[in-house]
Amino acid sequence: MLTLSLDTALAAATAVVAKDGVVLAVRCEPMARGHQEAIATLTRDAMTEAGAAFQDLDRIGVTVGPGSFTGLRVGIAFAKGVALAWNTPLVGIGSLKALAASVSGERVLATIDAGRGQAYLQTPGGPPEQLPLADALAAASVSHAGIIVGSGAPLLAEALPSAVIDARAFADPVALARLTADAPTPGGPPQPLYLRAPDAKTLAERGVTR
Amino acid sequence: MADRFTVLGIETSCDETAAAVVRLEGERVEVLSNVVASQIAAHVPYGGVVPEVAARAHVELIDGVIGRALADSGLDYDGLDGIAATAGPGLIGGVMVGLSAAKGLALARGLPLVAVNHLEGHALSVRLGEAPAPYPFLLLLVSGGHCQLLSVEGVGRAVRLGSTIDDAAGEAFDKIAAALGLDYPGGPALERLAEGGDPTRFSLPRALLDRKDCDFSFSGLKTAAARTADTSVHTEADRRDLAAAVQGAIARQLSERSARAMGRYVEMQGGAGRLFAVAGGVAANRTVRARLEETASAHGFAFTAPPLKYCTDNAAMIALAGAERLRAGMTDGLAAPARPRWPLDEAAARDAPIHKPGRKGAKA
Ligand SMILES: Nc1ncnc2c1ncn2[C@@H]1O[C@H](COP(=O)(O)OP(=O)(O)O)[C@@H](O)[C@H]1O
Repeated sequence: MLTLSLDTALAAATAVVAKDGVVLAVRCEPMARGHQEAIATLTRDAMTEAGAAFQDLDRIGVTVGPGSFTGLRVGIAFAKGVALAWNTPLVGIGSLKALAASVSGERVLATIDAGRGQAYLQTPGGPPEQLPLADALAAASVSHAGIIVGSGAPLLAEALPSAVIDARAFADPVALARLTADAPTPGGPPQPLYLRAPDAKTLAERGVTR
Repeated sequence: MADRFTVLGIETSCDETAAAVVRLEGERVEVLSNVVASQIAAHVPYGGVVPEVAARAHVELIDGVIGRALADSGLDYDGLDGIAATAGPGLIGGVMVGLSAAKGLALARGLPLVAVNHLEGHALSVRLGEAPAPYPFLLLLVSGGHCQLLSVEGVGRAVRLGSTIDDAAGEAFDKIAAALGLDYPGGPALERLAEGGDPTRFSLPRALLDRKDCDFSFSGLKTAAARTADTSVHTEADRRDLAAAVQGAIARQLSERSARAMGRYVEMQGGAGRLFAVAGGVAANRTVRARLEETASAHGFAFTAPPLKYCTDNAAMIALAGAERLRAGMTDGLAAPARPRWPLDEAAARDAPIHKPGRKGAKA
């Protein structure tokens, strides 16, 4: 199976081409912003180095979040464009799951610093969620995780004094390729997993009556 | 296919997710498909467009809308010569969605990418009608986000003659409509309310009377209308009269500045191309339109406006701009940025910035 994996959800823009479990080419640039400008060129370069043609792709994987809202949308919109071009199946990959798959070990807690006193986290076997730091610490302390991975790891370290801390800011490209190949066939096109409502109030919430 | 350019256009800069396929052959323009998914319903609870809500809707809708535009056109991607997308100005979150999808398609299909200025799309929308407007022409662009007068000499060649120093005309319609208790989007609702109203009963201020340029200002009108709404509007008839007064005041200002621009344009063009084109959502307003038609004929200009569906945001105009650029050899790289602000006439905007050049540069 020839796959292309894309990730612009966190602090890097990544394109990975793999075939049957072997990574053929990786382009991964750490960046806080600029994913929109970068991802198409990185993808082109990875495909060229892999000697792969877009029409031969069996599957495209893209991270759906949680992460930077803009990053998620850029990655998903770009992936949708690539997938439309040759009608290639497109699968979504959770970014916390991708972080967890980036480290080796049994019980992994993945977490992203969500700002505003919040953390995105996924405990071993649990769903991705957004929690206030206090609740995230409580969830971490009962998770029995041996490893905490992601930008939020330092924030939760005190909850699990014996856990290994891996504060990487984005997922490992090899893990992205593996998750793309292993993902179940999708029911529909992937959509962003924001875990957070838009920062706006409705007229009703603002007490405006008409 | 030497002189035939078939382009898929994508538009996501405000609250419509749109895609279209347009074919340009010599001077013939054919719209093969035109799909617009409006998000108005998503924004109604907020009383206006919320950028984050818009961006979320765009990314959900984008693949379906592109797929439908292609299916409706009867073509396959093989039948396309390029992919065009709005790259600004507009709500940046949405712009990035359309531009990113366009890049994905262009890259995977080996097609050239054209990053289109949304304002150029509006300017060229007057070439989407039955008989495409020939260059040059004088354009009044009046939408929710823009209000400017441009001498359009060709693709990539527009000279700004005037612009708003505060609100756009559509924005003024929408804000005053809200003050009158009308639902978003207020422009069309205000036009309906104004029917049968007496435009002379309330007097509203005229803007920039001391200036001899072609710039617009609607903020004084907005404030005065809101005050009148608070103090003197009690009955349904009062509301009607105020709506009619507002509509009349906006139409009058648009026509006065357009008349002034016609004089300047005639000097610039040496009398050639006496064609006055009006584009943008506000061109749908019948009072505004009638007033502008009179102004044009009084100054010896022919009048044209695109069909209504190409007045408001649409992707056919983006596809046409893409096709004209492609024909002129103007394409963009895969790193093309999304630009929240992007004046059509960059030279004029630099030399005489209308808005204080803020963090984001001169506004469009
Ligand atoms: N009949 C009308 N009368 C007045 N304003 C109108 C009318 N129809 C549409 N508008 C205004 O046009 C604007 C929408 O036009 P559009 O070209 O889509 O603008 P934009 O994309 O800049 O918001 C809105 O401000 C709307 O209120």
